Amino acid sequence: MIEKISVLVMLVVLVVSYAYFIQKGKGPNPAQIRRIPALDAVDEAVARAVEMERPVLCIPGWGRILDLEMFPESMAGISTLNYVARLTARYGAELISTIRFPAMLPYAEDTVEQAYIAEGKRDEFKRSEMVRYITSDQVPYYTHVMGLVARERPAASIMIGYFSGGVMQICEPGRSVGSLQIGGCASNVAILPYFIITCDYVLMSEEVYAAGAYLTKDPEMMAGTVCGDVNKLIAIILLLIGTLFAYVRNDLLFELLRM
Amino acid sequence: MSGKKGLGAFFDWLDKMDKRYLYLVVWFFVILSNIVFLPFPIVPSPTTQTSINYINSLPEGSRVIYSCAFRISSWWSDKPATMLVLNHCFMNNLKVIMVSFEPDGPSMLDEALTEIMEQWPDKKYGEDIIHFGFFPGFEAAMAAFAGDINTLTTTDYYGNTWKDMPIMEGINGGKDCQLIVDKTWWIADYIVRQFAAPYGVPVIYWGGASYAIRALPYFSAGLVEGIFFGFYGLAEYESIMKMPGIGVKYLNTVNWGFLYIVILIVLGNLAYIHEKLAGRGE
Amino acid sequence: MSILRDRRLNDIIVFIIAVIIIASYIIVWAPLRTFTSEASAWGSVIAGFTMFVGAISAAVYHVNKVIRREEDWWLNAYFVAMLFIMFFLGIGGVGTKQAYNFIFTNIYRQIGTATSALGGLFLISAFYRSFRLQNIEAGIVIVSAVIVGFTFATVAGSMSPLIKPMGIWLLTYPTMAAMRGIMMCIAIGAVAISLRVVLGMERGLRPIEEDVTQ
Repeated sequence: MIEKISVLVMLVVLVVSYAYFIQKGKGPNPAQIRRIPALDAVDEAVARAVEMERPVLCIPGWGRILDLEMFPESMAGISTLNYVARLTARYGAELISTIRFPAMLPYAEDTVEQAYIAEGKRDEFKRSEMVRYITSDQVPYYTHVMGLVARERPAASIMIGYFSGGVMQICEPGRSVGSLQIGGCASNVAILPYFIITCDYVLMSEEVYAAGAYLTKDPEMMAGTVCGDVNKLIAIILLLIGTLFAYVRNDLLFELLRM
Repeated sequence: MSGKKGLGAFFDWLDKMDKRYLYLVVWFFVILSNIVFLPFPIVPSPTTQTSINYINSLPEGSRVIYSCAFRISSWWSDKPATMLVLNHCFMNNLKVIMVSFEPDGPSMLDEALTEIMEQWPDKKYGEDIIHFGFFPGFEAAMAAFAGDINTLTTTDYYGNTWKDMPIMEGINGGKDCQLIVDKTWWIADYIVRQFAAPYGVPVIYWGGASYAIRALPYFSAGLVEGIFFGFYGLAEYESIMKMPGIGVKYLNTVNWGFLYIVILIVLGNLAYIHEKLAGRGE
Repeated sequence: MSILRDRRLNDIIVFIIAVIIIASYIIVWAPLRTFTSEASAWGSVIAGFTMFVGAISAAVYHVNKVIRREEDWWLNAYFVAMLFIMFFLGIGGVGTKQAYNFIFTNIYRQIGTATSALGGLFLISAFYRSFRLQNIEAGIVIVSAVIVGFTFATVAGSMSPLIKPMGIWLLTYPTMAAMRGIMMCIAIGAVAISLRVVLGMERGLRPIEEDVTQ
């Protein structure tokens, strides 16, 4: 017996729209993502690090891969780390990435290694130096990163992914050493104010999910972003219709969505 | 130096001063707060009152899950919160199932358990309270705990078979319990997704103030029965339960601290406005 | 062995398990639900093992620093020593439990609390530097922040009886409206990104075949 038919319908709509936009992306007029200054600044940040001969600190978030809430942002953070690693490999900047939850570690190591291999710099990849697992506990983690920022004085700090409390303790020292800081968090909106007051560029909510697609211009990832936007539009239309139905005290839409 | 005199020099210094002076003044305010007590009444928030009313409304013998996902560094405030909840439950003859989804939890809950059993000598471990310890995996562990505890463990934190205990009679998983109080560093979404949404288990969420704001939509939608706003929730809870502790005591420090922040904002803006006007004048 | 290193195998496994778990949510069939429940438990097991992965990685980093006698190498040596001491005390027999608890309660907890408190100082300097009336939006942010802050600070009641109701109104209406909108959008965006991962289209997890950053 099938239950939650509404969820099945929405899932089918999502998959079909994704397939449609992948096909459309291969055509002459692929969809474009609007300009996101924070992501444009990633190249500038790495260039700054190369000029100043100081490292790039890239933190792909504090998310647990096995966690529903944090998984999408963690993936966005990994995509960003992949892009940043390619730039540091290409231009010879030093990369430091700190990992908080061990489940993220294999992903981060793999993505940085792949980036260095793609740039033909396999020999320059140093696993334990570039991707460092610190600890899962928040306070020792951000204390270590505070010390790392004070010692290494990164020229750029790119922090895109899932973040929780303790962001201030990393961003404020980064600001003190003159680091160009790019921060972004999607689901944990309580953290965004901390990024806004300490970072030079901020990615807010959905822009984090678009980071991978925007940076790599990969057609399949762009299709995913467009698909998400279109489905959001459908959700907004349903919301407006639902508001009208609720106003006239009609439960039809509510019952349909509960099926 | 800019060569400005009087107020101009002061504002110039304010704008560019070493931030360590700010930290020094914080210490001064903290010390002051231990000497001068601001006698303002604590007015409970509607969410705190609703939470307490809900616990009071549970029938005797109801099973309450006390789920914790906090860290050792916050135990100084989480312990009074834990003791309050345990005391409140025992006052109402409710049975408590303790579980942790963070690795730091078990030893802290063990400490709380030892203390509560000393305060309530008529309560028995295994009949009125049980401690399951820590399960890794966070939301995956919550899902398993809510569905069927057997998939996670057959014993409690101390190695006793939990199925043999009177407190777990008729309970296979969290879904069979009457309430879950989630004391956590994280957002409410996990507990709502794994307990409230699929099984309809009532949830009382107790997180940091900034995370608790994110739980408000769930509260208004009825998925969360009550919210405690972090440290303020602790002070309000202590005040309502007439068990004053560090919440009430250190709310005074919070008051002084907040006054300091307002003074800083005013001074910072005065310096900024002065700089803007001076810039225009030139 | 080469088949185990083939990334397509990863993608196939992820796809199959994802489809089964999604199907168990929609189709009422006991074996599917049992599989999902077991998969959740296995998720916990994997999470437990990743702790070892992390600890080994951290140990390797610090041991390398000690071997190379880099600056302040003795701190790295201290870390490695404490890692092994706590590990053996933690898995040891009955006699080691007291020692473990002593270190955990009297050293680790106190250091954690102290460092956590130090972090709060950064908030002060950030507030001082950032809360400037640069434009109307900044002004609205400052006023809202002060009102909401006073909502919880008991000193507000003596200043004006309006502050707490205003703060609660701000939290209950505009804040909640914004939260709801953001949460809805994030949920849909999360599903889209998860779909990319399930279908094996997430670039960060794929080997790079061609240069698409030029």
